[in-house]
Amino acid sequence: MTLEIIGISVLWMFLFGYVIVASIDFGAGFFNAYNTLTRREHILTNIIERYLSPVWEVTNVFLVFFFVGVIGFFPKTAFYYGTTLLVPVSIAIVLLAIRGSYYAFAMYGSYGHKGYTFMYGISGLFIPASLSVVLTISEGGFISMINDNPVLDYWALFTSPLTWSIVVLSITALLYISAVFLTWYANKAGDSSATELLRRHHFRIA
Amino acid sequence: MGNEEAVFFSRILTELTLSFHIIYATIGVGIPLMIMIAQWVGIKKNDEHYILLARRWARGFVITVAVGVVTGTAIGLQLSLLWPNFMELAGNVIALPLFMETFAFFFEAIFLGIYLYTWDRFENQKKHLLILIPVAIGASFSAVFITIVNAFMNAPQGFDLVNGELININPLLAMFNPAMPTKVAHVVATAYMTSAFVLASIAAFRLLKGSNHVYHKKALFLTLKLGLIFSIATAIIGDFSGKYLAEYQPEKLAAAEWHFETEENASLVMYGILDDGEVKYAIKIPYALSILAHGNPFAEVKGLDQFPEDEVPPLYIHYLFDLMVTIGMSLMAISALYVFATWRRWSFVQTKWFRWILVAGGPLAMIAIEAGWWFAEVGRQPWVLRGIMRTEDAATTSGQVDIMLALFAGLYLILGVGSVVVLRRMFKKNPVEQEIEDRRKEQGGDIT
Repeated sequence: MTLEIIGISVLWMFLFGYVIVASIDFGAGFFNAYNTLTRREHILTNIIERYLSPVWEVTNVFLVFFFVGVIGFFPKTAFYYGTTLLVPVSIAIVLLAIRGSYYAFAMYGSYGHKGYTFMYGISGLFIPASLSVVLTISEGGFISMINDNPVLDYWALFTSPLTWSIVVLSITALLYISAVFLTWYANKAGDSSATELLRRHHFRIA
Repeated sequence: MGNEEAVFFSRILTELTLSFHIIYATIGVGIPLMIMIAQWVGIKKNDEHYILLARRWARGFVITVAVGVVTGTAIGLQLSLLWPNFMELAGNVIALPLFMETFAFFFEAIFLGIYLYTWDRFENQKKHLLILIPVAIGASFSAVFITIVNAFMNAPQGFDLVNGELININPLLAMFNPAMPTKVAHVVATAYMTSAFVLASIAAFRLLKGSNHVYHKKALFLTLKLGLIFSIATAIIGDFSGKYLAEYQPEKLAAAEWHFETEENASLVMYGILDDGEVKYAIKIPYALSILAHGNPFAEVKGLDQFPEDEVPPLYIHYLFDLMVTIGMSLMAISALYVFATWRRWSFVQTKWFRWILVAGGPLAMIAIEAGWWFAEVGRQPWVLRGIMRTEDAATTSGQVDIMLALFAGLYLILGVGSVVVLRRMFKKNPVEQEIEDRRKEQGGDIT
């Protein structure tokens, strides 16, 4: 086995870890907001908080493991992706930062209101959308070399059907994974009304 | 060439992110140790006040950790976004310590969760204290590994440079570079020191604002004792850092000390201003620079005349160096005075004006941390990887760095204000007097 194969295997492991843990996290935020909107928050809040509070810091760790690993095993990617992804990744960092810190503020500092719950829910859909754009770019055709510097063609990127199908796929997959996991979790915890509500959510998505 | 702008904004954005992150990171490294000591003292003396101290510190700590985590993720990604050429060159060397840093944090986060969740769940308090040990170790080792990355940028080794690429990498040799021992020790000791002074400043403030509870007096005395110990350690390590610089980065030392000509019996320039290349209003301490650099008053110290002009760092780092050292020394003196006076029962340390000085100690220590990092980073210029890659060759060529700077400045403003508001609310809603009262009701009256 070459170093590249080992590297990519390790990276896929981290990425899968992140995708699964983060999907549950983002989806939970969305369902929480959705049920607040339809005034059913009392059914879900308990189960979602019980799951989220011990894992939110760990979720970030998987993401950091992944990108540190990419640079470590494939340093050339820093040059191409680092230069071109400044804007989308910066937006994702800002959303992640607000999301993570305000979760802690609300949880441990009992500081929160409805507007924040919605922001928390919506940001959970924007982050995967902005991160999954990287997959489209990696398919090729969106980066051109101008004066030896890679430049991203935003117009081509945002008008490509591939971009939008990946974004839609990532969001539905995320909501599905999250609903399934939380249903199982609520069932394990013996919370039957939450199980029922979540089951309806994931049937609707499927 | 137009790229100068991208370099400029990349530097500003990196500086902003690091300056903001270091506040929370320093607290994040130091506080777990303080919590551990307070809880241990509480168990030893069977004094509920110290246990309560640990409890309340831990509650505030969670908020600062959250901001530390998200800003740490930001700087981790910004390394690749803003300095892609640097990461392309050195990525496979520094990925290992970066990875270990993340792992140390992972370790810390897991045990911190367990620790917070298990208050009052153990019959034996000592078992609960045991959970805190991995938290403190994880926190300190995050600092160790990330400082190793910085040390590598100052004293790169452990590879061969062939055709502009680093090959034959020996990761251990790269991590244990000559800058590593003094840098790591200095960062960790100052984090403990700063955390102690920040906590002391909170206790002193409470005492000034009407609460005369013995809880705050115990907190103040404990934290200032710790502050004294760690500031002495910091001063000793600082002296070793001077010797490291003289040996491996003489241009940084010479620029920081405004030492222009190579000479023996070199005197140390303190304060002063630079006017047309002439030092004015400075205090000169004979032989002190030779002692700092080589431990020998007659030794020769390399001056700036030994280096090409385009490899000398900006001379304003002298002010940063002075600021850092002056604050460090003053805090050592103040804490020593307080501890000694309390021991001899001199009453002037209980007066209002002395308590205001103690309140200033926390913010001052934080300013010293900032000045120290600015000194360390600007002092390495013009290099990003000393002797191998210049900062201007490392930066991104993207044209949108200025907009990103505004975006992140907004983010840090929100996080900074948010964390202060949340912390204030948290402790205002639940003052210590009330918590002592509540706990007494719960446990049946063994706390006063």
